[in-house]
Amino acid sequence: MSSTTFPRPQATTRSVTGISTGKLAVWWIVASEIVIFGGLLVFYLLMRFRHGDPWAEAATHTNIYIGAFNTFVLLTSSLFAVLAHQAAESDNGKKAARFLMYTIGGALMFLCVKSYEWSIEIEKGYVLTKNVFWGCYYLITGLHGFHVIAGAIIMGFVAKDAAKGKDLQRVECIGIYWHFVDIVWLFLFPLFYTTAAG
Amino acid sequence: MSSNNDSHAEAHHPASYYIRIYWILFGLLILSILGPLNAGLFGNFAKAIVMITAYGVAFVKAYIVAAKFMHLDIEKKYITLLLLMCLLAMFVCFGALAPDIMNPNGANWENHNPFMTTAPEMHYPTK
Repeated sequence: MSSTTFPRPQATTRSVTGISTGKLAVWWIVASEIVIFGGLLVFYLLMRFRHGDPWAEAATHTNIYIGAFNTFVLLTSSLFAVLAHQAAESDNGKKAARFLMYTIGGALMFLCVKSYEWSIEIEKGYVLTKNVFWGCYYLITGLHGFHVIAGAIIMGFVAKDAAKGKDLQRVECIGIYWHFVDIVWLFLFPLFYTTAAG
Repeated sequence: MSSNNDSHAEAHHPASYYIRIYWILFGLLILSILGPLNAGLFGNFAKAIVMITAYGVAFVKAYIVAAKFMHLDIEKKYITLLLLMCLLAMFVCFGALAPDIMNPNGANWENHNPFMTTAPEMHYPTK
């Protein structure tokens, strides 16, 4: 990290709060995302409690195996993200970039599977306006998918710099964001896919 | 990273440590699939099995990812407090909305079942 000839950005060098400002900013983003997704999950849960059986019946039409596979994909991509962070801590930019590329691969796979799943559901007539359950489903999984796309794009930029050994601290920042996206899915999986079971 | 002044910059774990955690998460994922799918075998306890294996395990997985992958376990304490504050806001939101959503009617309104359609016919009280 000391090889760069440019002045270090404040977000990298300043750490008034005990952690770098850049990372603190990412934690703030995560905190605000908790409120956004939290509000939607609260809405989902209230509707679930209000409409009990019809809601559970609607949830039987989602495919638990596809949801489980996507959970597996996101967990694996989270492993790659943390391994990228570990490589960055060891000043190994090329290795970090490689692991970030694997993570992006996971993101792309997740999006492909999600698109396939949506196309099946839409084909069967379970569209956004079918009822509140499906409106909720498309809104929340769509917003989550948008976060996956944003994370993958940002990760591409971080990986490009990391491969040159530049700004390796960003690897941890994007990793924190990515793990959060994974955590959100860990809750969406039981809510949308296993609600009707039992 | 030499420029990283963070609290846990020195807290290096070998790759095998993260891979071990990953396998634990994978095991929990299997449990969260098999539990709800086979809950019917447990008769009266089916609901409890679903709650524990689906939602309970989701909380455990989320905790492990947050603590071990996001390194919250060794992060500054105020970060954890910041996140908990936002989670608290979620519970406040739940408590504030629950009376309106769960009640079938109020002083000037009726809670129509919006389940069958996302565009229910609106009914306003007549004076």
